[in-house]
Amino acid sequence: MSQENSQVNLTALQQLNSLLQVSGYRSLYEGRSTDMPIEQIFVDLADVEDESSSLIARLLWLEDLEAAQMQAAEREADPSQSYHLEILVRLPFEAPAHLLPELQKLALWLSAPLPLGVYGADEATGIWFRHVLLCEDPYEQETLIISALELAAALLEQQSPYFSKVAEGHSAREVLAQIAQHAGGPHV
Amino acid sequence: MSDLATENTPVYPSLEEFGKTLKEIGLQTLFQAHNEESPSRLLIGLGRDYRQRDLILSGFDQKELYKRSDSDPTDPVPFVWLWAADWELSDAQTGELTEIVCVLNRLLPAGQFVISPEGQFFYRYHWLVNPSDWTVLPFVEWLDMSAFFLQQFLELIESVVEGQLTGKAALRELETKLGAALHEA
Repeated sequence: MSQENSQVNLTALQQLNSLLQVSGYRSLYEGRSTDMPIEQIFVDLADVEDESSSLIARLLWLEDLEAAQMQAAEREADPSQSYHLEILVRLPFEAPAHLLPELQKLALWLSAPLPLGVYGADEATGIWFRHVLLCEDPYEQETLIISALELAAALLEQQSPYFSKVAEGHSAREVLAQIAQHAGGPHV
Repeated sequence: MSDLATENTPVYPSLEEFGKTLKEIGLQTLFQAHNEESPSRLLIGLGRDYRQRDLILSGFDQKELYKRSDSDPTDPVPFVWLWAADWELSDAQTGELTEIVCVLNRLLPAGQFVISPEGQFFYRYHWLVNPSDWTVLPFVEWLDMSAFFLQQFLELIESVVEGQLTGKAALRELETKLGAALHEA
């Protein structure tokens, strides 16, 4: 894929990482290696002044991931006319197997009114938030991506603690009822 | 760059303008202006599903839907796109579907399945647009993908809803399907 700007020799994610750091985010860029043939950024969405907490979002191009999978299977990936930037945030909660059904139910129910992305839960990743941005050109998307990260950070700051209530023994339906009681509305 | 976004005045397209642009490139669209009961919506035909039902996607302007301020600079999400099932889920049916839906939502390149607490079932995507540099190309590619995914996975999901498969059995079938797709690619 043509994600390298030949004039400045920076990939779109390297440029984005620089802008994130200038904007005050704690972020880390990882380039392609033989072990991991994809480039990615890890960015902390937690309040930058609160060093005790972190909420790490991983950003990568799905086209990279597909190419790596196809390469492993010794096949060629289909060419795409647009680029897909995945924003994946793993929430800092355990998702033990016996709680997964209720966590998954809560994840999907909380996702219904979201203005961006979706929550999910599985044994491999735990509890997560995911959104994929569509871009025709991987460059010049920094404003859009940072807006998406700001929106995701605001949603997660408010809603991620709800998942810990399932670990405390509440059902997904009970958690929704508690949220509705707190908000004074029928549900979130 | 679309003709609708001028060089000096970056603006989001309106839903109606966006529909006209899609119609010009050959897509089936219908704009329905808002009324007292429902917000404006743009309908897009995606063909038919495995039971020959029309697959219709509805687009909404989020500012109108959630009555947001136009001046909010942090809101980059002008449109939300939905396909809604014509059935509703009980809590028990939701329980059967949650695992397979989470697996799909982790895998699909863009667009996710969502279940509301009231049992409504949606396929949904929030399309973020850069007002100074938006084009329809990625969206049209996303429409093609969405039609494919709905055609591929709806039968499996409805098999669970109708009790022909358990959620676990559907998940095994999905894994077989995905394995075969990777093998054939």
